[in-house]
Amino acid sequence: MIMDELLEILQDVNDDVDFENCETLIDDGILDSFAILQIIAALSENYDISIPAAEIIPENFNSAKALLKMVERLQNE
Amino acid sequence: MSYTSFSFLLFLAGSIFLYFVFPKKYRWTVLLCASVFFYLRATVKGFLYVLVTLLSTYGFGIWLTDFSKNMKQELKQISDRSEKKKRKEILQKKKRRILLAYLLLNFGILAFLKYTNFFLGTINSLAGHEAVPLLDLLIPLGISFYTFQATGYVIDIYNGQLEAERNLAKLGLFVTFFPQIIQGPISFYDQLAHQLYEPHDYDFVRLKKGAELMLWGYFKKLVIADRIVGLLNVILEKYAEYNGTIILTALLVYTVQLYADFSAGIDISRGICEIIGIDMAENFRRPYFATTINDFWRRWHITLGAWMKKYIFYPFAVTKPVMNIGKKIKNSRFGQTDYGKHVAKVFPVSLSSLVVFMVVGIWHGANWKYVGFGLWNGLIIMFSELLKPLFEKMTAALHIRTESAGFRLFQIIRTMFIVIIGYVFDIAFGMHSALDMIRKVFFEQSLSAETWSTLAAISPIDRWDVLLACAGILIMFIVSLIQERTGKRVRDLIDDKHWTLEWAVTFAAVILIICFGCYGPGFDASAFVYMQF
Amino acid sequence: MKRFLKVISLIAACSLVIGFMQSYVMRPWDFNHLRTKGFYLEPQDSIDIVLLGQSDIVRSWSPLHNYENTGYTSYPLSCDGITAAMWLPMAKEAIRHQHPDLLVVDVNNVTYNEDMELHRPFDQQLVDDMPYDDIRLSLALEARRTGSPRWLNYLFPLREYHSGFPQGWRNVPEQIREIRDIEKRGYTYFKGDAQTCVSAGARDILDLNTAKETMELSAPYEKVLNDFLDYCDANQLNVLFLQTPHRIPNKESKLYANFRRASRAGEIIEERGYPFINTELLKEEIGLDMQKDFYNNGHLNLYGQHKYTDWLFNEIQTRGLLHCAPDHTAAVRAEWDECLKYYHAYTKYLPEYRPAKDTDMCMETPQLIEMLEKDYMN
Repeated sequence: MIMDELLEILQDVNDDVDFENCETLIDDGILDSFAILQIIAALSENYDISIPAAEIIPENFNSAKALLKMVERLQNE
Repeated sequence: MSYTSFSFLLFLAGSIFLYFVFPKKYRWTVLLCASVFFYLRATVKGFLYVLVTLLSTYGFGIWLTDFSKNMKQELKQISDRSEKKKRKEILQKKKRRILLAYLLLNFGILAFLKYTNFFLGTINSLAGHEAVPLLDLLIPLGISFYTFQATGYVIDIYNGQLEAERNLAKLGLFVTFFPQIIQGPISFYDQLAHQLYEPHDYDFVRLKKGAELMLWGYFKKLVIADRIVGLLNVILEKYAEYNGTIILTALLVYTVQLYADFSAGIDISRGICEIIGIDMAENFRRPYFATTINDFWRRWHITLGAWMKKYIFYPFAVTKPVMNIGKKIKNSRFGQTDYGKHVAKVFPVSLSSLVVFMVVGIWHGANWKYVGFGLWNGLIIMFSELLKPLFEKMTAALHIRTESAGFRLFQIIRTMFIVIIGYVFDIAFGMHSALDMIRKVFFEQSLSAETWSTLAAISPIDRWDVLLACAGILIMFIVSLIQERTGKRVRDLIDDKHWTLEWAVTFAAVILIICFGCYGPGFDASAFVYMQF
Repeated sequence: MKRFLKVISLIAACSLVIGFMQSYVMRPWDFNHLRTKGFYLEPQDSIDIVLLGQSDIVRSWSPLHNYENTGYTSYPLSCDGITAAMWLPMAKEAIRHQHPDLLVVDVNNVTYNEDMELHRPFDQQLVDDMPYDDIRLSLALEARRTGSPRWLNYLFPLREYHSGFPQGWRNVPEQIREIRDIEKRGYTYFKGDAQTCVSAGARDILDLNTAKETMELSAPYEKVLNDFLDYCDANQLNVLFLQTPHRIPNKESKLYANFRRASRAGEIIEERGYPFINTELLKEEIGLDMQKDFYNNGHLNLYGQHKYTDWLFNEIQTRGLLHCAPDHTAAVRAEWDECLKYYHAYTKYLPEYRPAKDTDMCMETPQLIEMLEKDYMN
């Protein structure tokens, strides 16, 4: 499943974080700028999308679900 | 109008009164008129620059919004995927050019006014004589702040996060709002604008809390900052004559004075906003309790950091070239090692940080020393991140408990050390004198009686002033400690106790400020530190 | 309601404490302030002659010496270094509180040509002890009109003196005690006098008797003079203008320029129909010894002061400038008689005392009063 694939990529970046359940990754400061940029690098490489800085908002990064939504949206554009 | 002048207090009282008396629908116009009046009182000529920024922000904002709308419409109509992509690219390019034109105009004005003489001066010093005359340029009040705030708005529109405000007067309020214009905080449009336009009701508790915050700001500025700034200035005037200990004294004074002065201005601004009913962003969060330099910059001038992060750091860090650096390192042989992996992860980010700090540096002023400031902070961050695994190994080998209070204290002192060296760049006249001062601080220390007698002789403040200042600093420290430990606002904590505590604290604050504050024509009160940025 | 009371009580407490600090603690206290405060403590309508000017007039006229000889009461409402801009408010205060029979004005105030703003801190000394009345308010507003940044300090002295103790914080309890003593007593012993027995060294003095040169007044000062004369006209005041004597060493001295401007001021004053005496030209007549009767080039000492007071009063009588006999209540006379006792004691003590600075002259400290009562009164 696509979500499993995404979770694997995320755990690869930082395996201390509970990506599966956490919904406040940005709001609670769980992801720092390193993690965010690494996630972007990993996602853009894996899904062949380009993620502009404008997408770095809590709505997109607060949870794995939100990330998936963003990825799907960017893939279709 | 200075925040510490009688006329400002009159102006403020009048504006607040009018705000709550006006019909709700038009309350925001009171804020607009107050802001324009405030600005014109400072400078009429400078206001012309504000108008240029305002009108361009308004015009380009609408242009970009409409352009995006039309672009969406147009692309919807195209069914063929590859054609859509091609068209999208063309339209994106055009949209980008529109944004660029806007940014060029506004940052161009800022750069021209702030940095022309810097470049001309550099040319002159390279030529060895005054080859080109310096220009007599007026720097409009708060230009660095309102330019950043306005461009943030337009960039947000470009990114599709906002729609343009079609009411020019309302946008004018966002650009010129008087509690922010002197020295920030820099706000994002989605956080501030609606608060400005929505009418707020009079609320006694909010008025009281806002006034208390203002009192705290006045205390810090008048009782502490303005009291000790004289000593700083007198040492700086002839710094070459004094030894490293005296220079260090000046640095320590500056450390206190800068924080007290800057945070005081911000507190007064936020207090004013609280009275009106606006929640203004925090700009300081006990910066001197920071454990790392990164942490420090998340606690100092927070809104500038947030602006830089959103509009410079991330956009730079996600560009293909920068991301490719990380990829290249990861894919190299070195990148296969543990340390290599770490470097691949960290290097592009710290490079972006370095860029941000260079920008922050020159934002402060047109002088090579600010380049030094940027390099100092940026390089320290870069190397601290790159060498992190080494530090972790060291602390493990030395069996240091990184959770302990002792280690935390060590981290705080270490950070302060870095910050204070950074401050040399602030107070020195130029790069040369900055480096000279650093050399003196490291190599010309002398805790002798002669040093102290020199200090006493040149100091414009006497023992009584020093005592008062220390008492003030102690109070500031205790308040910061409470804030850091509890995460709550001290005035809320006081409010929870019996009313006599609040009464007594307010009484003491008023008496201390009026009887022991440094105000009036008898004092050379240093203008708020960041006013000409 | 409860909230309202809390706010009101806070404002009241702050005002009280700030008022106290302003009046007793964070303020300078020297012979100038003592003089002003003493003026406002005198009973209503008990002063016959009020003298306006600067340090010169204070050192030239001795109220108690004159009272002893003539029975007339007088008071110098002046502080060292004040500007002529204070004439008008002080005249108004004098009239409001005392309705004096005669106003004596020392024109030395208008003989300067520096920026008046430089002297504003001196004006502040006098304003500090003025009551908060409309005269003080108009004084402040006038200062504001002329662009002085100190205007607000006239209404709110803490703005001038805050964040420090002008006399040193160790002296605060003493200072409070001194001020309270005088307020409780209800009058000053020396009636604003200031003197010393010291005499300045011998030196060459320019012979002025034949000099009749004048020099134009500096514009702002001339305006102040004319405005004051207008006020005198409008209120039909009984005013005598004079220039006190100085030791002018030579024609290059600033004092010489001041003398010339004083002569010019005299011309303006006489044109307007007011009496003017240039006592610079009458030193022989007054009987002043230029070497022994001055304690410096600008001021008479005790001996010169007594001679000058006698002579000046005689002039005033001869010119018929006083219109009533001194008719004071028993209480007023009793007060002045008692002050005279202290004054005698003080003049007995003066030859042994060399004040470190002018502001120590006639400072009525509890220690001084005690010493006079113990050692110099019989």
